[in-house]
Amino acid sequence: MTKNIVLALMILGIVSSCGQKDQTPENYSNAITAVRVEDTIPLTDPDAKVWKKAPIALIELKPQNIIPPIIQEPSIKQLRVRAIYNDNYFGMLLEWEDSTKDELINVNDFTDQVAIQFPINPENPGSFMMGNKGAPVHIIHWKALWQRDVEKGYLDVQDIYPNMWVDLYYFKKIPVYTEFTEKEIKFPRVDEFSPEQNDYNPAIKLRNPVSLVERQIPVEEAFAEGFGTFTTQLHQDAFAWGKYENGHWKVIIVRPLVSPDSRDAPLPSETVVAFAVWDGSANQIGGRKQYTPWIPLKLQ
Amino acid sequence: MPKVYNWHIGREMDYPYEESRPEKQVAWVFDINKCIECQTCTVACKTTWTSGKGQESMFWNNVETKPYGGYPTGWDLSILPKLGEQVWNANNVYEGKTVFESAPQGEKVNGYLPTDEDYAHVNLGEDECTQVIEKGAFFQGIHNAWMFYLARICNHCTYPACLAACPRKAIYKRKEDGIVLVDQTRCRGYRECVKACPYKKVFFNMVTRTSEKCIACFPLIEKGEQPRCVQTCIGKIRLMGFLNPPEKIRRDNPLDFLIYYKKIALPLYPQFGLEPNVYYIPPVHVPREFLYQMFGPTVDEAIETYRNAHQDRELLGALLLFTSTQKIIDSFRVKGDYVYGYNEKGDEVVKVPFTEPLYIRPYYDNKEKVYRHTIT
Ligand code: SF4
Ligand code: SF4
Repeated sequence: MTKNIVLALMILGIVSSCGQKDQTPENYSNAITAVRVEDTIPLTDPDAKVWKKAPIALIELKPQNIIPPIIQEPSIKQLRVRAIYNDNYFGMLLEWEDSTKDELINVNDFTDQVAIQFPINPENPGSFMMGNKGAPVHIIHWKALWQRDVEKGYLDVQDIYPNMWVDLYYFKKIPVYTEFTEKEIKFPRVDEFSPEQNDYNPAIKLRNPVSLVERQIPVEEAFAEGFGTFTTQLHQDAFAWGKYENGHWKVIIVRPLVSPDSRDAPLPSETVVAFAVWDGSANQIGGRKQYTPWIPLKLQ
Repeated sequence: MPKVYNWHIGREMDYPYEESRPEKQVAWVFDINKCIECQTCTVACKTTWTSGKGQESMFWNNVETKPYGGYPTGWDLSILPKLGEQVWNANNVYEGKTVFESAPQGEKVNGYLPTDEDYAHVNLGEDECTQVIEKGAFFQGIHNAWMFYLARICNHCTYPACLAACPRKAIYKRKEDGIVLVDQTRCRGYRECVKACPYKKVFFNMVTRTSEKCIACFPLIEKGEQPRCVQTCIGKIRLMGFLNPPEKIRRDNPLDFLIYYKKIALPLYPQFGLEPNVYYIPPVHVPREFLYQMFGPTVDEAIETYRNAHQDRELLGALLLFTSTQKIIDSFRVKGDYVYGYNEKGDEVVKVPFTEPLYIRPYYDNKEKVYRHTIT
């Protein structure tokens, strides 16, 4: 009897240590190998067979606790990375555990995000913290919120508060409500506003890249030369798509292998790459994130 | 971290940037004793600036009932305990910690982020009194129950916490007039400012996904007019103008006069360390302990001066300028039975009598053949 319990405990012990196996530092990869494939790079299917051709690199994430504002503890500890490329495109599949899918935005709702970063000059990558003066970086940044925008339309007030009543939005008629009104009242959606109607939404009117109501892709390419210098690129050549399943994010990020855009990093056979992951439910945004230092990337 | 001088707390303090005072500082004086909480200011501001989608529960100007009210809910109750003990020494120097000095490791400012529910009850606690008033006490004179109305806008602080906390430098303070603005093209919605502002006067807009705040009606100020909340104030409790830098103080500038010379108007929670630029004439009937916490150690003197204003023609003159004109008053002068306000060029923009002239008209209008409803 006792023996059986001990045995059972041992098994449990083994099982649980198997579950944690990934987390031991010996298993962390110190380089990523991108595998050349003949197939097309899948843009939206993280379960496509072709990804299996690349080895998994298990990357340790560190809490950004260097430059304020910081996080003290990482809420996401590791990232699984696979990389493939063909004649035209380079793709990465990034996977991590996250018990909540955070794709909304509100005063205290933050979204899940992931970003990859390449040095513009691989010989002199500069700081892994968004580069530095003279050593710029190229960032490709995906947000769950943006993907929700693309899939379901730009997140609007009534999506979060379906019963909110507003008497008046300037420039938009709201049907007059009477107790005889039978039809459901439809509030105007901001993604249907004309430029004049957006006079009361300055950031939308000014085309701030975080306020793009007509967003088509859930990713943004940017250029940076140090903390606080994140600047959206004029030419957007990257694509990304995420899938959330069973407490697990799988996000594909694809970019051209060779890009004519001088603000896009080159991809020689040997370069470096860095990652950042944000956990929305831990209120992570901006510098409050998990990061990695530069990691060697080989295009095999 | 650089050291800057904050005259509200009588000492130097830590701030993430060097001291850089504007050429002149936009400032307000609100006379709490006169506010009737009609919310005209709130509505004037709302219809002018925050009628867009995503701004539904955003009030750059709000008027709350103290001690229980507050928007967002419990903003003051949430931030005050974070500072620890807040003591002033005998020389009126603040010996506790500011929001900058008490910031936890890895943070620039000691703050907190409100929830969406905190913004959902804009006038929670309206008219709540500290106790039930005994039957008949109204007629017997003084009773101990109290409450008062606190009108609040962004303080366009000399040391803004919102600006200090923004990692993108998307918030700036204009050199020409000290107005603090969020650059709507640079902001990426990190909400560090929303978290940092102890007065909770930066708001997150979930539709634009950026932070937005009071812009001091700068299009009006740029053409020499006072902001909408001042122009429309029914209780005439408000005066907006410019405070001069310490070396250029002028007695005939009504703001310099009320704040630096008469010291009748005091900053709200000076211990936060922001050197806020909305100055309040404290309510005369409220327990002093409550007022010391709110307006610092010189409340007694301010109230004394206010109570004696009827003996001081110059002071009374300055108080008569409140909400008397749309124009910004750069200087004022008392002459005879009037106080005159002048703009920067020296042109007269307003003339207010010390005693309102009284006209009594006959009860019956012979010309129109009607009885008059009002004869004064
Ligand atoms: S308009 Fe004036 S009197 Fe009315 S609530 Fe606002 S500050 Fe008070
Ligand atoms: S009151 Fe708040 S929002 Fe306004 S300037 Fe000061 S810190 Fe910034």
